[in-house]
Amino acid sequence: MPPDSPQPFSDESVREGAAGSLDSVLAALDYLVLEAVEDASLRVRGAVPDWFESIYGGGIDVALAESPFLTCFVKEVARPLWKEAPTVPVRSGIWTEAVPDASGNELTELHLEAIAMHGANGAGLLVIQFMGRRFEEIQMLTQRANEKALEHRQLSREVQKKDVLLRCIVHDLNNPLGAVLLNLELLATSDDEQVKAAASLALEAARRQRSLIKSITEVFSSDLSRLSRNRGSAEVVGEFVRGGEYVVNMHLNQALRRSVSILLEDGLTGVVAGERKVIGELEPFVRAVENLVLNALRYAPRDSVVIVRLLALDEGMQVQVEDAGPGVEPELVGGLFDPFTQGTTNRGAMGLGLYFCRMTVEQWGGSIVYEQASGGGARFVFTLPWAGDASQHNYET
Amino acid sequence: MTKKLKKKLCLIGSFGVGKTILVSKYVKGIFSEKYLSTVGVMISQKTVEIGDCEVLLMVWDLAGEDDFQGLRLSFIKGASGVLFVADGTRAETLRLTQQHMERLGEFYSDIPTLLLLNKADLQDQWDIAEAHLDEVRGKVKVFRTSAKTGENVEEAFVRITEMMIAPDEPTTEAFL
Ligand SMILES: Nc1nc2c(ncn2[C@@H]2O[C@H](COP(=O)(O)OP(=O)(O)OP(=O)(O)O)[C@@H](O)[C@H]2O)c(=O)[nH]1
Ligand SMILES: [Mg+2]
Repeated sequence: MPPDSPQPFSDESVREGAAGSLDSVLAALDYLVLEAVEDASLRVRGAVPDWFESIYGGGIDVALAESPFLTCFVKEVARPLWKEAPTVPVRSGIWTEAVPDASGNELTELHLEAIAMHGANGAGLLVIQFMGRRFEEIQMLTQRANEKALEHRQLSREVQKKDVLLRCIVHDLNNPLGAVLLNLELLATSDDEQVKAAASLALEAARRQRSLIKSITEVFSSDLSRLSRNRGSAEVVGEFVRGGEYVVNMHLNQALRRSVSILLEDGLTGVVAGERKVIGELEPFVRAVENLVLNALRYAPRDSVVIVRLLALDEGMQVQVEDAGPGVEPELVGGLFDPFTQGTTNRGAMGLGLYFCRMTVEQWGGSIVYEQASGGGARFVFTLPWAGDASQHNYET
Repeated sequence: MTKKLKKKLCLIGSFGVGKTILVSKYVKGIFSEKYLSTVGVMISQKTVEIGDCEVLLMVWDLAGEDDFQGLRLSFIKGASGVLFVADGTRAETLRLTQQHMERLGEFYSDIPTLLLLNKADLQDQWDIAEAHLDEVRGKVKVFRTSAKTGENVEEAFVRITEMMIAPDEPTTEAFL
């Protein structure tokens, strides 16, 4: 826009000179500066950088005709911006297009970025930058970050798989051992000296086997070792309430993005004495509840509520996680807590998560079940025994 | 008489799901095992014939962002269609796609979309629960694709092009 009153001649020429040298600086930096003129066309301002000359010798009209990105950016972003009062510049982001090389045959990839903005006089400006080496640097960094993230994922999945496999093995080895030990103990009290001696020997061997299995898991498993070491440890009720609050707070935002809310119904605080203890450990407990909450969030419809409920029952502390989703199909309920559910790989990560919950809860002498919630949604319920109950001191299986 | 149209199609999805390779397979017939992360957006073109229409498809292959907030809406302006791409061996990429779909729906609710669940050749690593897929199918038509074997690749691109030039589609503009 020309100024309303004429500027003194000297000022104008000084400004032109300054602008001229600025133009050459911009060109040296591989920037092409275009100005929007009255008839809606674009005019090159100042020097034309080499890259532009060699690729689009015919000028900006050729570039616009050959570059879908530029055409789109000018139409959808730059022109609407220029119509507004001067505001902050808008960057296009980097784009890559294939263009014919100088011979007009071979296609080479061109990496550019454009900026739409207003000039000092309010005119619309379009600045196009040739990315050159900077593109390669950014590409390399992006690539590295992405590859690292993929590797990390791959690795943690392998670890998880190994843990599950190990748990299965340990579980299967331990299961009959409990019965073997119980019966051998019985036999070891026999009046028949021969039976008693044999039973004692067998008992010793069976006990050694049990501790061997334990030590295998401690050496090889990242999760199970900690669990088995802490088997039977207890924690006060208040800690579990904190754990529940922690999980709910952790996932509030994620839920909100999907218009789902998470509610903690605390039926423990003020109902049972704060120092009453439950068999279990906080961290695996939190992970188990988290698994259930994530599962619930995955299936919860928009504008629904996921409820985490803590209850005090005679036999122990109960945790319920409930969603208003479609629930679990009846034919899947049976194998819900098994690893690698029913031979199909389709349940994916969900199968592992619930299996983890079951193992965690069962390690502490608790149990987990699935129920259908009153509205048809899914409700996962697990109960952990109060500490100090004599009935809990059998051999673990 | 053939009608000539020019249309912009965007590919959106998490990184490494196979957007660039799908485009390469469709446009040039080339699959590559090598992963080269896209920066910003990469544009290629292909002419597709649908009935008596000759459509010059401008394919905008957007770099994958792992945060759905990072979806560059400015890249999508002017698009006549969107292909969402997720990786069947990574359930979290499908979850991200669901967020992308919701976000896109807030701004461009009338653009035709399809979802490509890619890497269908990797069945032993499949990570998508049927229930999860059912939930998605309620919102968008899903193609199981493999850029490696070519399964459903051409079909998906042709299908979205058909949807983009459907007669009731108002943004149709002529070229040449
Ligand atoms: N087995 C198999 N591999 C595939 C398939 N599609 C893509 N890939 C591989 O997945 C990797 C990533 O593919 P790209 O197309 O570069 O991924 P992208 O979605 O463009 O990723 P960004 O550019 O980072 O957003 C490459 O190593 C491909 O070889 C497929 O259908 N099957
Ligand atoms: Mg790519």
